[in-house]
Amino acid sequence: MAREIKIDVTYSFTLGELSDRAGVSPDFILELVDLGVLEPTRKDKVLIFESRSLARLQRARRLQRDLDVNLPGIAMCLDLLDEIKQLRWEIDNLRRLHKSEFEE
Amino acid sequence: MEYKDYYKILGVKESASAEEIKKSYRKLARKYHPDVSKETDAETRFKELGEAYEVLKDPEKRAEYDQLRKMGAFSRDGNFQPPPGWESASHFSSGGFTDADPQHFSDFFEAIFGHSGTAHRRYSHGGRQYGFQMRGDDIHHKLPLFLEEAYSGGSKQITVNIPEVDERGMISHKRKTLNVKIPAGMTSGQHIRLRGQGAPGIGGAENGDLFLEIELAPHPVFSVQGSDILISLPITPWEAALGAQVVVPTLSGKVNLKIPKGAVQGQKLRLKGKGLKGTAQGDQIVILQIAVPPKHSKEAEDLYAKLAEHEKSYNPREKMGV
Repeated sequence: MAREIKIDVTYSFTLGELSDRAGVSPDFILELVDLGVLEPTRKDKVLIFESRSLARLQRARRLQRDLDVNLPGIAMCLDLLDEIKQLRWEIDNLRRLHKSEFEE
Repeated sequence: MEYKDYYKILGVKESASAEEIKKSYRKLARKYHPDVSKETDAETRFKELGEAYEVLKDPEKRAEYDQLRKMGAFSRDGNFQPPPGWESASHFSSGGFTDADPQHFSDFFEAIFGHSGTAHRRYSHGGRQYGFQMRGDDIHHKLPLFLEEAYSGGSKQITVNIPEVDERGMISHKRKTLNVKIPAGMTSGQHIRLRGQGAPGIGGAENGDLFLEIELAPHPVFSVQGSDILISLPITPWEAALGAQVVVPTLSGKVNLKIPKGAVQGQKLRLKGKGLKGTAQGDQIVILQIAVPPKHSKEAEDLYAKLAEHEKSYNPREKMGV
């Protein structure tokens, strides 16, 4: 029987931690902050990135590496992907809410 | 091992020029990039593409691959064996810089171009040598949950592949099963972290962490909006007209709901506190849908005729100008 593991639900990263974990330079992260891709909060002059930032940053890095997209392009890509996700979710919801009408 | 037709994977002819190969790779990479694609097998396809491109973009590797295609032994079931004594001249680690992630290349690739170099390259990159300490890699996983599981939280067993590096820098994967206690009210896109459950550190350094991203599976009855739960509830025209007491399913069991007299199609009713307990306690929102029986009895038709007489002044198509 595997033992039960304690989990963190609310956690955040500093710039250095984020850069270490994602394997990118702090400059890369700061450029993404400038473009509004990442939106850290400031606490005593230290930037604090919320838990989702890591996944978003890694996504940005993969897009850059694999598709050769520049940073403004990545920012737009991520915005569009978010929007597509949101729209897909809404369509899915609407379909289910009107299921009986669609099925017959 | 399974033979990989890199030309077929990239959708190009054997005679394709370097330019054609690059163009085709870029197009397919956009299509199958796991961050962008909606194809279910995007990740596998993308890895194959990367591997195929890794070989075909490099004239030396491509020449070797072409040679192998001619010489390689195929058994009846399509399995491939490189000719005895085969050794690659363009060893992978010296085959030019690549951004592709060599951890994911197939056995077929490794049989041709070798693989000791791949693992080594990864862990010795940036001048890091063994004897140095290096924090273990973080591992990222999706964690699919049924809505019921997300609602009540609780223990969930998950299995992850943890990469381990031995002293020679070779990577092997070890399956690890963990019991994770999921707090109630998690929703899609939220992340949780399991400290120290990632890849082991090198040279006594700290382990990496395991990150899980929650992904709610679509539910046949309920939809999720933030921490609210949405449900479409069919009611009859007479329940709508006269008001009624009906039973509604919620994630915490059945509850009674009072339909107000004169309810209309699409009207929303709120069941307080019946949503997800996320950062804020959500509600269940019930959206009324008027449903009519597929067939009416003679008596019902007579009653409808009577109703039509009484409601003559109502024109539902008024806004259409007819």
